[in-house]
Amino acid sequence: MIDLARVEPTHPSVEPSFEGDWLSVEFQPEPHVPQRFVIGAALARRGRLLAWRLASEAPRLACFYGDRFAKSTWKWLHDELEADLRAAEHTPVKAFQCRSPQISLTLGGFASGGTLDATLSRTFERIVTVVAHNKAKPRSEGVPQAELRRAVADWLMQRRPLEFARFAHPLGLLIRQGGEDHSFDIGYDDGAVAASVVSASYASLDNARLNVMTATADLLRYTRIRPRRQIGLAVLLPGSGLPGEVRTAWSDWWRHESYKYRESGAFVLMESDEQEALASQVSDLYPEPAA
Amino acid sequence: MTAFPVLASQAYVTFVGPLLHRGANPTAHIAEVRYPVQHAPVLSAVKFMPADGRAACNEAISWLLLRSAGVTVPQHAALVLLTDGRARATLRRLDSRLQLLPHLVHAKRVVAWCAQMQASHSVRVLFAGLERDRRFVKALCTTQGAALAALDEALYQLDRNHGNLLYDGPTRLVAIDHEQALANHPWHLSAPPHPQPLCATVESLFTAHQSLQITTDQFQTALRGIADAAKGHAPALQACREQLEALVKRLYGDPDGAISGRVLSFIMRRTAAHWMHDRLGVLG
Repeated sequence: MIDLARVEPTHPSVEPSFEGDWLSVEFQPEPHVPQRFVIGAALARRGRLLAWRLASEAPRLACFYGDRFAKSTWKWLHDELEADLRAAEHTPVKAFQCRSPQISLTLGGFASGGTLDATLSRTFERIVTVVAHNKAKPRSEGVPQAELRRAVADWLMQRRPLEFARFAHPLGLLIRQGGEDHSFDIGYDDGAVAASVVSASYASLDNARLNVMTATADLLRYTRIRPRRQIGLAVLLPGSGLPGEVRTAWSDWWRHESYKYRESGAFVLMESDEQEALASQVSDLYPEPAA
Repeated sequence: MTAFPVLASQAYVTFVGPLLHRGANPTAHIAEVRYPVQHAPVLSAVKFMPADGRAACNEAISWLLLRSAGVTVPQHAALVLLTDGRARATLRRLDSRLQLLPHLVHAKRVVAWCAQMQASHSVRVLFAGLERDRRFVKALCTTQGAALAALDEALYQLDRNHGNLLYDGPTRLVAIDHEQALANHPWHLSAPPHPQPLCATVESLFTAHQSLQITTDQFQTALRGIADAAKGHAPALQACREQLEALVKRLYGDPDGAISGRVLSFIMRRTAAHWMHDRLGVLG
């Protein structure tokens, strides 16, 4: 019979430094029309208001109300509400009363996070409707590593569905020792070859270097603990979508680093500026088992 | 092989709100969950499961096998061990009338199944009346649908319906809600039987053929598709077998492997070579 008291988690969870409740700050532009917009997010702990963030602009209200929406009115509303919330800080949320009857605080539910600010930012992004969060991607946009890894994993899963689970570890590799789990930034391992996929396609060289170095360090240390015949590093190079100076900075740095990887013989180095081509190279590292 | 994630209460980061179409489980809702290796919390469908762990395991086992077989599943999934206090507070937010029933709690913990929210809606939500049935059957006649139907039969999923087949076009289907897999039998207590009737998914194809919703040609093609998809079941099970055994052992202790053995025996028999061909009467 199951005993939930004795079940141990498989992966460690980070203890959040903030736990409390999230609330939506809602605005009803027309008192006689039951239409509300979420114009801000707030956090409370033990029922007391702790932090908030209001939309500084409301372009969607301008869309809805056209000429009836004035930026000056919005600014006034914003400043007055800001003052009311400041006065209500650390007081019970239930007792909050804005000077305007068109503003209300509505309890959302439990929220937690690494920091108060991070939790507030995340909540704001998720619930505030008067600002457009999904901005058009700027022309100079790289490929975040998490997105790249998902794309490579999807590609491999589509083409090698029966073997995918044999060599892919989308959640990373873990070594459990002494009751603790130690995670390695390695996405692929079949017992003979361990490999990691990293993105160097970033507007900042620092991000690219950090990704490469983190994966390299973990691969080297992992293979000392669990010896492997081979270790591989698959790098997504900055593509043509990134500015020329970004690509130049990368290639100046990578020219020397890739030489070290290749000449040391310690790594199989895979490179491409296209995700599919990179995934194909990773696939080649893990040939299909002989029938 | 990375273990199927069983996470502590801290992985449940934010209660977001009710699920628009909750299905049979009244505790189903949306929350942000932090999965292993993910830095940002992921919007997830969450539901509380009976504390005996069986329904939760059914979901996880199905997820592992479907993923191993190359069928589209939510990218992230996990079991989260919530504190009963957190679970109660969540239910209060969902609906003030909801109570945390005793069968959901053991040792002040609640097992929650969490899976990344999908962008698509179910067949039930998207279509109405006869069109709903027609789309459901049409989906099962596709390659993806055949793969899903094959796995439903292999796992003897009792509860496939319009509401738990997510539809994003006829070639993009996601099967959810596997609480009633493995014949909905208490396999933690005894070996699950192999029922004679076909599972509901495959049965719906027979019904559609008998009622002339699909032609004989379409029907035969669908059955052959299911039988062909089943050829990949044995290797798929082999690929995720270790994770499956480890999950059952983690939840139930199971020192002699009897419980995981029952689960594996059931699935192995139904994923054996030619089993599906014989089951459906299809020439292999």
